[in-house]
Amino acid sequence: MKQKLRIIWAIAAKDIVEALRNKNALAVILSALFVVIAYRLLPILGASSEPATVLAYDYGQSSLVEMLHTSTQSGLYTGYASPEHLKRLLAEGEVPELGLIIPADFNQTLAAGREPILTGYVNTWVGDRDAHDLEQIVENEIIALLGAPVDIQIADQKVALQPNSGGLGVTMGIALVFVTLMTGMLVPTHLILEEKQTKTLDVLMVSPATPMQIVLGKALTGLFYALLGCGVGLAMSFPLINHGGLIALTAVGGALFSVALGLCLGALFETRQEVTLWSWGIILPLFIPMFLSLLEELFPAGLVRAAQWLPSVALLHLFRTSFASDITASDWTAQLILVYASAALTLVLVTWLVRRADR
Amino acid sequence: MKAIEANGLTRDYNGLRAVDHITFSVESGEVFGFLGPNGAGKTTTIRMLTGQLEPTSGAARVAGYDVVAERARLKPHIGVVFEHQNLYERLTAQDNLRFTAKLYGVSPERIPQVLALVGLKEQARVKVKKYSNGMKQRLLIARALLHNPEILFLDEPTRGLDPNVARDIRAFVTDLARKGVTIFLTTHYMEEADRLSNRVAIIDHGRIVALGTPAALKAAHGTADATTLEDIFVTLTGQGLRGRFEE
Repeated sequence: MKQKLRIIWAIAAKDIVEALRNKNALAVILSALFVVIAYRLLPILGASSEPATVLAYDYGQSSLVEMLHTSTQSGLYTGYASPEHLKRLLAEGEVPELGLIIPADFNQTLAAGREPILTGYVNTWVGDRDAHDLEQIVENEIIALLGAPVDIQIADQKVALQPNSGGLGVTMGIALVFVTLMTGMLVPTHLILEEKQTKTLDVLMVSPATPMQIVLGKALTGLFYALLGCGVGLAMSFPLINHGGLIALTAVGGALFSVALGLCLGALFETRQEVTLWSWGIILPLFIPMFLSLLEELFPAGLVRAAQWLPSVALLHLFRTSFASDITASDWTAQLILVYASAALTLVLVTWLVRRADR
Repeated sequence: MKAIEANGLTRDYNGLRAVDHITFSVESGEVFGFLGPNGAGKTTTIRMLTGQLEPTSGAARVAGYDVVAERARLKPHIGVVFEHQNLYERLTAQDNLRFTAKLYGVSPERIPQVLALVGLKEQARVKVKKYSNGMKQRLLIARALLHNPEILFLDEPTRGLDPNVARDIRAFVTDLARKGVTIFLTTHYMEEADRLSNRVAIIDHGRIVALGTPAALKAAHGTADATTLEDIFVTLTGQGLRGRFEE
């Protein structure tokens, strides 16, 4: 056993370093990391020059809403059916936004010379400092507009994401699926391909390494990079995470599935052209249904339901669910089983391919 | 003791027979030349004997181990120098050998020993992509010898090398044979086979067409016009080639 582990680790350790020297594998790693970083940072950079976004629900007919509409310091959104409706849409934001509940007696309090108290809401992933800054900007703007003091009190209970929330949950979910699938699938493929083309695979085949140990060594490398990419994405979206255990299981399951796909490609094909062609043949059917599942109202229900059975769609659901609060096991069990079952089936296929090639 | 025993070894590829019921044996410590034109089945035979490829039928034992059933136990006893210079080019010579040492569970202390043996100790930290063909070939031999194999398979070890390097490699093979390593050698150079081999087998169309010592083959197949091993090789295999074109 110790000898087997030594061989697997020797192959993996070499490949982890070699992946950074293999220009194709390195391009995959860097582009996947770029995508995940861009998904997180671009909305923030885009919003930095924009006025603070305020979503307001007015219980009465206060003058504040009308005034805020003229403000250049804040972008106001209104027209929500209820505070719950406002919170639900606040959860769809990609950058820190303020939900503002204006009490029914706002005008009367102001007219009586008292300081109206407004309740503010922010998402759970908005840090205390950002929440405070947002509160200050909007409070100062309201004071300037009204010429009278108001007090915005950020509610202790922040607005949590739901499994079906859009916004940052979806953006980061897609980025995480992308980085996990791309690195896990393509890094081991390019490493196996290079070993085939330089015929160094023959060296491994005459060494004490068995074909399965060689495959496991490559799989460890793929897992390393898939989890590294996913880890970078998760670190960038750390405040979003509500269920660490579920997200860890999702990342590992997604990495296993993508690595198994990569090993299949590596076992089946001999040239970069074949791999490129077939990898797109796998990537597109995995990614397009993910977007289809997000735009369910635009497509026939049967098609959307069928898409739910794809591991990529299940992965996206699991990442989004890990960001949500108040979830139950029924929200994620079936999808997690689907991801691990897909990984297991693909690994069985790899084993069969390797054993067949071995003969 | 027999180092290699092949009995009716056969391999088919997609309906084509690459190796056709070959039977031979190699004594321990012997240099065995395995000669044949391109596509005759030399590399396929090596791949079967080294456990890379399962025979379609027949059996073989190498170092006393069945090449199919006992493949895992066989591998530590053999070393292979491939036809292609299949080294990790981005790694140094030392790192190439360090990786091989890990696969075989060999102490890293053996690395400078084998590098010195092939005259590459000074270039140990140079990346292989900067090596000349001759240096790469010597490194391939060092890698194959790292774990002290009993049997060394050399597939065209001097192909494409300049005469000086080829001579060094031949001297090295002779030296290894003197130390008791069994050598299974394929080569296109008949003079090389004649000089190095205790016995040779000539394979054509997947079948062994002649087997014996170079002297015995010359005696059996030689004529007034065919006196060298190369002449005999051409006589035994060239007919087949001509026949193929005539078809």
